[in-house]
Amino acid sequence: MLTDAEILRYSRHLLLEEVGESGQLALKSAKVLIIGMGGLGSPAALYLAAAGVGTIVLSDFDHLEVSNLQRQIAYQSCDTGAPKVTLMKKRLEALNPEIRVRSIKNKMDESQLAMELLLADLVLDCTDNMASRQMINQACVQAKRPLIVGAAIRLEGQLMFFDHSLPDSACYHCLFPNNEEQVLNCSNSGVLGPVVGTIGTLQALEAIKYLTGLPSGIKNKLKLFDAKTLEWQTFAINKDPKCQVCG
Amino acid sequence: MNIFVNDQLIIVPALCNIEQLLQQLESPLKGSAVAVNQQIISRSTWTEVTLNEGDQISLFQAIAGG
Amino acid sequence: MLYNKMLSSDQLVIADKTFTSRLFTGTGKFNDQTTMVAALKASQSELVTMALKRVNMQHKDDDILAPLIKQGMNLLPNTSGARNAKEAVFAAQLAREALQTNWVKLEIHPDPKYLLPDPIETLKAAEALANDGFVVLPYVHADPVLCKHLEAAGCAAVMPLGAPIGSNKGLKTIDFLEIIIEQANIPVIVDAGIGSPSHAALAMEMGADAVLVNTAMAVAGDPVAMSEAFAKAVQAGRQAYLSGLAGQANHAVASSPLTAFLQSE
Repeated sequence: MLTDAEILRYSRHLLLEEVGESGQLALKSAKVLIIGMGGLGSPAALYLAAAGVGTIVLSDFDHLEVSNLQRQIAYQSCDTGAPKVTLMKKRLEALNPEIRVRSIKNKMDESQLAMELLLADLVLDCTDNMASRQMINQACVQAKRPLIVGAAIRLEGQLMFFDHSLPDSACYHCLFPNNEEQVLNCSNSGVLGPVVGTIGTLQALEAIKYLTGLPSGIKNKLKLFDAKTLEWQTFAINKDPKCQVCG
Repeated sequence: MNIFVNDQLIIVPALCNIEQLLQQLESPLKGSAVAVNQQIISRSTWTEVTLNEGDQISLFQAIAGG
Repeated sequence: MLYNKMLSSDQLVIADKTFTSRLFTGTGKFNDQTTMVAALKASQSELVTMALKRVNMQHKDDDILAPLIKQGMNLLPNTSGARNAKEAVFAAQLAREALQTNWVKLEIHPDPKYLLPDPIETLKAAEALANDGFVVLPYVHADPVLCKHLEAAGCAAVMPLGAPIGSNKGLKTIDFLEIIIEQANIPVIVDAGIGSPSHAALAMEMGADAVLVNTAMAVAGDPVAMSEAFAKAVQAGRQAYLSGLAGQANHAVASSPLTAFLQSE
């Protein structure tokens, strides 16, 4: 069922026992929503497009600024001022013409997000603020969609995977019940490019594993990355029975 | 076991799948769509998906309307 | 005879289907199922739309599909009842399962008094559904800019209204329908408000690719005869469009030589 062009393009997937033709077909029929096209979302989107995810929906209301280019390596200097999703859509289609890419330029409210989740198999949270993360988390819990969350600041990264299609899944709110914006964010604290790129890349890796049926290894866990020592710490996230979102 | 179809309590046998439920309700298979606990169940899996106690089923049918 | 020749080469293609009849129809408001089936048959329509609703467990509706399928009609489920994009997408997904078709008439009209379609929710839903592989026919106001956005989003056609649903007021939006027809690269189906065969003929004369009529056929004194009249009107209008309509003038243009009758000048 794969075309000749696809067999050629994905040959390195087909050579992997863990993926094979069935895995590639699963990627082809998958629909992934990536919210945020900055330092996390742009590498994630590139890797998912390269892997052959059949439908990728990009959401970001921002325009490219020159200060983004220190870490958002998918973009080019000449494109500052343009909407990020428009630029990324072109980039992804140029990388892999076999897939379908759609861009959402406006800021999604809860009802549009709920609608988009009806059509997505998997969501990547690549945003940079607490309010968005809480909204995405709540929507994924309600719609029972699996959610891969990435975050990076200064020299530290965070990675989480919540499979809300399972009844006993914890959620982002169990871990961060405080809805208030964190004091630290990229514009006042700085971040090294490879830190955020690493986390975004790993979000894509977790997505590919999920879609091809490989075990996650990080479900309901908080993986903390220390860029100074290159060490990871793992914390179990227990489902809070009194969680306002998923309890 | 007890399940709810469009908020109405219905009693079905313990091992009941979606197709059997529609037959029990005398609903036409063509033109009907089913969601279980707000998740739409694809037609192709109707004989494989079994119901559980307390499930909330939403049953939809194509009807006259411009 | 000439018309049949014209007919066979003048088919309407939308997505994966080809239509000979440019009269699309609806299933609402007929007195009973028998009348509906007879009227739709008389209309020669090849595409009919129907709604999807939560079954009333106390009082189940008739199964309307069997006779329509038997007649060879293409089914176009609509999302009427949806108040926003999310509900419309959910309805479209249900309809895809229920009728095993990816064709959908996208209609989102939460205001019950005028039933005017919500342009913003419709565009959001259209983009999402088209991307998900649906053949989307969106019902919208006669807004040329919106219709262009819908075309860019991947809709298979656009369905601008002539007047509010069920009002039978005809082509109140005629000036804007003209613009839409001029600018569209996808089929334009005038839907809603067509109250008489002459309205339908006018829409076709203007260059619409098809019309959708429901109320005017269903509530007519004799629905079967009225449906036949609509079929003829759509054919007449289409033939007129293809035959090169004469231009209009603000003054008279004599049909006979301007000489007096009895004298020679």
